[in-house]
Amino acid sequence: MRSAQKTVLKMEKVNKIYEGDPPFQALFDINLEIHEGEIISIIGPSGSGKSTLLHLLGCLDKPTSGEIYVGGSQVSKMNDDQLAFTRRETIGFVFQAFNLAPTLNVFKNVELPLVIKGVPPAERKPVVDRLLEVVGLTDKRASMTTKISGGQKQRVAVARSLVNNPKILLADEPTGNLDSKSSDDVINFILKLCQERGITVIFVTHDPRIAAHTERQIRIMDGKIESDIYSRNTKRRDLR
Amino acid sequence: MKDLEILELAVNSIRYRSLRSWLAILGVVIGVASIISLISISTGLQTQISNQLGGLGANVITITSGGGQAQRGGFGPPDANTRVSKPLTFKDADALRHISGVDKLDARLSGRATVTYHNKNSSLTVTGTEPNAFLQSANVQIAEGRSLRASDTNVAVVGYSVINRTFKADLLNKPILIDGMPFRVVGVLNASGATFGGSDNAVFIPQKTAMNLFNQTVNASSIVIVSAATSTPNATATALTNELLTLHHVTNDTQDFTVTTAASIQGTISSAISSLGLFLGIIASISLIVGGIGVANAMFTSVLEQTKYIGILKSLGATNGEVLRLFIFESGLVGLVGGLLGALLSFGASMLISNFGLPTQITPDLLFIGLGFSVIIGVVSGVLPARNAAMVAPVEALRYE
Ligand SMILES: Nc1ncnc2c1ncn2[C@@H]1O[C@H](COP(=O)(O)OP(=O)(O)O)[C@@H](O)[C@H]1O
Ligand SMILES: [Mg+2]
Repeated sequence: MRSAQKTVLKMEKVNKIYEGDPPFQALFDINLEIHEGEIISIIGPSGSGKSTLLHLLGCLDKPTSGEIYVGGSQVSKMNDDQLAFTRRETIGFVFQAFNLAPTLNVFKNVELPLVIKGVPPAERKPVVDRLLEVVGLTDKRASMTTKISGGQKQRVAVARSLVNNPKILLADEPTGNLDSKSSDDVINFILKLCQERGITVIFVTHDPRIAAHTERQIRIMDGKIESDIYSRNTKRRDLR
Repeated sequence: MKDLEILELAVNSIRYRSLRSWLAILGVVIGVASIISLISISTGLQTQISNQLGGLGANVITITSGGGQAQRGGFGPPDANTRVSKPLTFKDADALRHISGVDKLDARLSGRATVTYHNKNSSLTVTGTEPNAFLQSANVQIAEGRSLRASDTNVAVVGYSVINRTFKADLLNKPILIDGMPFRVVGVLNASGATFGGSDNAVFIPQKTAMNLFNQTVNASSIVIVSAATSTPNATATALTNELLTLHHVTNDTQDFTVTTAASIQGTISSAISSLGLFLGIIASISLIVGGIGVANAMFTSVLEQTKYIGILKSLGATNGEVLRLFIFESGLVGLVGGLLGALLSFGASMLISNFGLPTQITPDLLFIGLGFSVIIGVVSGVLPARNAAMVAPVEALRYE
């Protein structure tokens, strides 16, 4: 019974027009409801508006019209600081380009969200250490992020996105820059950690293999939702 | 985020700054170095001159004839009531002797005279002084021999240079002639080293003998008073002035004598040097402002280079205010580093300036001011770029490559 589940993200008639000459409408009247604990993939061709959608859900950008609710709060009513607090408390991001801080080492990158949140140093260390162990990077903790492989970078990013225990993890083509072995590792870490903690996950992906492992697939085409399918026979186990 | 942790992030950013943005802090380095070394010149001059003025003695007050601008405290045109310069007299001196605040009084009579030793002549200033006041009023010490005594007549005490430069002979206990009158040298003074009010080139003889020598028993050349410890030189000077105004039947405006204290001379010279210091300071400030523009430029570069990082921080939930502080701290730190390097450089620069003969002195205050200035310049010039950084929309920042 889906309707009994708690809604964590909701979009109502959301439009996004990028200003410019000429202006470009990337999303058209999007209605969407996402429930607690769902593992979702958003698929669609390049330029169809997937990233735009994810940025709006993650409070990184504002819609031109329509309403977005994150955990029941109306995003349009929030000021910049409240948006920042929402990002730090409830949302984790993983990007295709890793987006690690080049001036910080592996440990400090994973620790960064806790620093921003104001968690005392003594409490930060065990949390970071444990996550680094889970993603198998304990021995790289002191390395600069420019000195490790792509797969390792994305594992750092995954650890960082989850260190704050977010309610929602948004991953924008997390394996887009990785070979297949590293891709599998990264996806497995995300699935394992998020299912353990009941975190809602939204993957934006081109990879049908990843989509096959999600219970709900949303297909976007030219800024509109073309289909939104719940698959019954989702393989909810490791990729291999 | 706590400020301390923002500061830590700022330190981290600075460590990985590009060479280009480091080069821009050269402006601050040079600005601070020039501020410190230029001001060190005026501090050095100040110190040097107050050392030289030390020869005057802090509690010594000198009265000379002629209207004094020092008393009027200005450089205005002379009064229309032409001041007929009325000389100071020994009678004046006697009237002043008992004023409260006067410890010793020395009514002097001096003039140029030809001093002869063996066959060598030299024109020197010969001063008739009251033996009991002499050492204090002239602020000198005896190096060899003895001072003048009240019972002395044709004896002289000579300055250090008279022996070591003028005659290059040990005159102690030797006979000399002053304008043909025979004297015996009984004492030699310590070198004073002072440029102003120095005694090194002088010859001192008893006042009474000088009256004979110069054939003058009425008018004194100057009256020198040693202020008592129970009074201040200024208070004593005021009392002396008031008494003399009455004696001479003049007012402040028609005053025909000048009362000078060591402090008033020092004050006049100090304020001239201060103006010089201010002028040098302004020049140096201009170069620091130019340096500040350099920092601002470096910060704009730094913000641009770190746009992606700003996006990352924001995606992780950093607020605009936290990003703003991060960049302000960064520019403040750049200012501090530039200031420290500039301070180091200023030591070298002031040593170089000293070699050219200008005295320099770098005080802790000066270093502190230089550093404070550079931090402020850093922060101020970082505000605008930091504001830009803080206002970038997260998506835009993340898209930046
Ligand atoms: N900042 C922007 N300004 C103008 N157009 C944009 C901007 N960002 C994205 N677009 C356009 O919006 C469309 C959707 O982009 P995006 O959401 O990134 O697509 P996807 O992630 O599905 O590839 C694309 O045509 C893209 O060119
Ligand atoms: Mg995309």
